[in-house]
Amino acid sequence: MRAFSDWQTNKPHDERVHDNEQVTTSNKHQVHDNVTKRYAKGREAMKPAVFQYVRPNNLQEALSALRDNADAKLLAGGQSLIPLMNFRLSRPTTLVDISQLKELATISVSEGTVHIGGLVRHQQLHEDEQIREVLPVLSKAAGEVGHWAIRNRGTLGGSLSHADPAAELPAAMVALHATLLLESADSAREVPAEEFFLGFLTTDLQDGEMITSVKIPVPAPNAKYGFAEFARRPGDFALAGAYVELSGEGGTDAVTWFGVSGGPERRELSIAKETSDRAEQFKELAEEFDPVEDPAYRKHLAVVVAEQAYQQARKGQA
Amino acid sequence: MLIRPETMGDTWRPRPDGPAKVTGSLPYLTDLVFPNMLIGKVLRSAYPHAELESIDTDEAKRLPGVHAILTHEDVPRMNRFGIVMPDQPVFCEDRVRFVGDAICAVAADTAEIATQALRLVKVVYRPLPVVTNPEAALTEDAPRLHPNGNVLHRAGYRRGKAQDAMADCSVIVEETYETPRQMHAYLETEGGVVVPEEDGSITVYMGTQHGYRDRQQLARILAMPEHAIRIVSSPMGGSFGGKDELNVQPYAALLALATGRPVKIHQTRAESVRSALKRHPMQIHMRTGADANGHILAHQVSIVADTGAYATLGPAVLDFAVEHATGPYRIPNLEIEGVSVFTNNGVSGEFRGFGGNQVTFAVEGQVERLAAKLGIDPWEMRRRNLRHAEDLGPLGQRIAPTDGAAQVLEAIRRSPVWPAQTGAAGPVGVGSGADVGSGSGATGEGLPLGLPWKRRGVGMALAMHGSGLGFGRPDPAGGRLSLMPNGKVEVAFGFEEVGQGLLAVIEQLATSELGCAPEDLCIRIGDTAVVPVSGSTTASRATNVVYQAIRRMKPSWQAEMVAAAARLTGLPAERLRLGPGGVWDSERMGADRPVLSYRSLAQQRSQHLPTAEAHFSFPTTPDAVTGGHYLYTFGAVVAQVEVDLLTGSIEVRRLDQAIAAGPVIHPMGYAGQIEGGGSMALGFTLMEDVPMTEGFYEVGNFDSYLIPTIADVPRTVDVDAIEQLLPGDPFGPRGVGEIGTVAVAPAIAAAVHNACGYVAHRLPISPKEIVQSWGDGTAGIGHL
Ligand SMILES: Cc1cc2nc3c(=O)[nH]c(=O)nc-3n(C[C@H](O)[C@H](O)[C@H](O)COP(=O)(O)OP(=O)(O)OC[C@H]3O[C@@H](n4cnc5c(N)ncnc54)[C@H](O)[C@@H]3O)c2cc1C
Repeated sequence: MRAFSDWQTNKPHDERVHDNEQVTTSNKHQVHDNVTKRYAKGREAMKPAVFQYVRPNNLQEALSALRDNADAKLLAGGQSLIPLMNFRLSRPTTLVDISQLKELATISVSEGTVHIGGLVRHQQLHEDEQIREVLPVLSKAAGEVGHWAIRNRGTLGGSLSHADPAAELPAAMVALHATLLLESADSAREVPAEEFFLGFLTTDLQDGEMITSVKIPVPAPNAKYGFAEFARRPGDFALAGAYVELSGEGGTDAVTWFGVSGGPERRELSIAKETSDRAEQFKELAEEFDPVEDPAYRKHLAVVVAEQAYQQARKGQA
Repeated sequence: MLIRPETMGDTWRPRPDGPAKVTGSLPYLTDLVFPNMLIGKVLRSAYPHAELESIDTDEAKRLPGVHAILTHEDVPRMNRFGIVMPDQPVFCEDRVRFVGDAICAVAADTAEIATQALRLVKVVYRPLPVVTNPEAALTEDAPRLHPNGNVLHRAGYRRGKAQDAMADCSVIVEETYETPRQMHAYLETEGGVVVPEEDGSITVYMGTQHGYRDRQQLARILAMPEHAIRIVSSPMGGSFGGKDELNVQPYAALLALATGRPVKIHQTRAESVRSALKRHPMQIHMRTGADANGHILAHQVSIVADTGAYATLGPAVLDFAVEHATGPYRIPNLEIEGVSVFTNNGVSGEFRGFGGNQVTFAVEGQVERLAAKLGIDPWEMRRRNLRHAEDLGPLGQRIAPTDGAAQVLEAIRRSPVWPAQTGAAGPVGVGSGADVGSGSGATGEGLPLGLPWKRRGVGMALAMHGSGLGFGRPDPAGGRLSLMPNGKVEVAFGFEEVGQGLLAVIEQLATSELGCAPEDLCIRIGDTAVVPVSGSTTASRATNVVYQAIRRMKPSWQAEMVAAAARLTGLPAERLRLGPGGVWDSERMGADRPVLSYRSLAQQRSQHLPTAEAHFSFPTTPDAVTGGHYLYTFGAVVAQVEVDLLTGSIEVRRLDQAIAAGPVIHPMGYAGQIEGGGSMALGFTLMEDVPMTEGFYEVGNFDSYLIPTIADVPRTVDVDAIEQLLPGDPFGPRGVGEIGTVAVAPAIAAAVHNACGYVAHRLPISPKEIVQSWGDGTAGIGHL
């Protein structure tokens, strides 16, 4: 399992406490803790540590480069990786730039399955005609990722691999029953989205592996999806978001949340007809979550976005 | 007059510095690069409050690429700065009082080496208990942060007998208001370059709002005569009051002198957040009573301001807050007191609005609450209490007579979104929210769109705002005109372009008053080598000073120019007029060119070129009331909001402002100040705050400090400029740099109240609390 190791090996530490050893005080630890706590967050951006850069011409070269360089990292849209490197929270030895691999940036629909390349940009996903037709909910969610400039660069593979708990697309994959295709120089395997996300910035991606594509079953004709999220400002990461799936006769209905815990949270439920009962159901489920900041409000928002997503789904709007 | 491009004619034109700014081609002072230049960095304290046991820079000094490391021992004269009372150490000697305190500074070949060097500095701190808020600071056993204790300043004003008058009131409202630690959030962080010159002088290329005062402060620190320091301070990428005080100038100057090389310091955003000024968080307690007819009889106010570790302009900000705590109202019995308190928090100082925004939120909140209790329409409530044109100022001082308050109040009636023109009692949509909610009365209407969890509401607020520094503070003003040898008309002012559009104002006034064309002008500002003393670029005063100065210089300028032209052309002086490109023959105005171009005039004269100067003081009240103002502007805001009861989010749909500040000089700039000020105040109202915990900033950058984006500001903003002054008013245009920020928060708060019944007493308004005000929060779900 590849946890987000950089967070552990390069723990944010305070660079402003100069020679703590010499702090002579009985409440040294208390004060020191405070310093660390505060300035891990306000840590300063700088230039990234030294790294090698390679730009492979095709997928095979990319996978080989990933295998042959210890601590190499893929560079896709760079919208998460570059900031992490600038904060020195990530220090890859080699960047394997896959941003030009057009072969990975395709979208197709065949035999009841949607195939989306790992390098498809968020804006491309948002605007794609086929996606709008068969997975309107995904188109809508992709349009909510950050701002336009970020969507022009950020990629599906990058977002899924980064696995930010408040990201739209990882949860979309879970909600839509996606399967990820993970390839390395010597192997390939498929992992259902629900098994891929393991927690805060942590996934099942192994060293040397790349998300080359995902496949999503075209929903049954009577299945409906809804999506809603809430952020303080347009374009900010969501404080809470939800997808609701109404699968129609005989199927299971489900809600998939994001932004309320360490990763996508899918819960099956038989959705009540009455609004108040439904709110009660969502509320019970949301109780499990333990968001760090403003827990009561965030749990409330979880209920609200779930209900909004439900309404969207019912009306077949998304 | 609504400011609209269509109706402004020729005056609707971009500012001279606009195109270069929006295309990114304008070089700022922080972009400057000099040969041989070093990079400076400042080490800030690791603790909010500690004794400094030792500072060991030996290892850092040995790092290759390091050229100087300076501590307090290297400051030639006064190791302190501060505009009114220099109490902030350039470098701390034995004690640190906030996390922005400077310990030492380094100059190195690169920023990386400088950063590395600071890491090698060994500082031994002995942490002291942290004074985290004014309340704690005022207790008996609180650590004393300064020799005179923890009170920086007290101010107050009394009239009549407020306490006794409360007995005559039919209603009394009492509330404590709290306002946030807002960050100026200028795009360009503090910085620039200091260059040691061959003659032993230095040139300081760094943004400020008063070059001559920086010079004075630096001279004291550096032990240099003022004339050996040249301050180039324009243009800069925003200030909003935040760069009026010294920031990194002393460090770059000391390092440049120590190394004999140009030194650039440009703070990162994190360094800026940590060391730079913020808006004073205030806790304002108000008790206000009115009779049954809504006449306010008594008003008791107590203001506590967290001024942080050092003084800077803290006393003046408090004075201003005390002065403006009555709003534009006639209140017979007043009891206002304020205290500005030292803590170990970040330093609070000057910020657009200067303490007025905080108290206006409070006093307008009181008026709203009284109106609601009495069942009087909020507009009518204000009308009944409004000051009259000849009334004294809020501190009982004589002021320039003004009917601005009545004018802006009247303008509210013209707003298409203000529904209560009838004067009937009760705000819009009262009553419909009885089924859910906090039960506090006013509840706006659900949307016609069938989204019952969204509520719209409208609110208003008024503001009165003094310009100039106020009584008892030297407030010199002046300007200079000269014909340059190349025929350009040099218009020089000791002001800075901080983003406020001053160049456009100077251009507009110089061309309209002096007859020349924009191309004839050479505008000089922000450089002590070439500009006269005009006073500070603060307190909404610059536009007024430019106007007054040009009007004062005009007669002698015209006379001298015309006389010179008469001599050279042989035409009688009476026939000559100054115009575009040169001097024109008034009997042949149809000609295609002037009889004598400015260039020919300059060349033929060659010596003793015409020049004119003005020196005067900013108008001030004749009454000895410290800080009391003489010129006031007025603003009225109408806000329309849409509140989402489920998420608590507030969308501001309209933010119309009526401003009474005299004639509009540059309409685009005027509208820009009001719209931009509105957006900045919208942030203050809805999202901005820099919380501090145990003396540490909780925010280090804009990732967690939210400022409004284009998506958060209203699509429609009407700016209604009321230009008429009372007959005989000689003072002309007042500035509008601040007034557009002052009454926005209370107007939005009133609109939110009108929409959903939630009564805000703390800023920024918390979506969480709005949700909570609707029961357990899920009650509203039923509406979906
Ligand atoms: C201002 C801002 C706002 C944002 N707002 C949002 C938001 O609201 N919602 C949201 O979801 N995201 C948001 N993002 C993040 C954005 O969506 C990123 O694009 C995304 O998280 C990463 O995609 P990327 O292509 O840029 O990946 P990169 O930054 O290039 O890489 C990220 C990580 O993924 C790895 N990686 C990249 N591609 C692959 C692949 N194909 N297979 C395996 N590993 C791979 C990299 O090695 C790296 O570890 C925001 C980003 C910014 C800068």
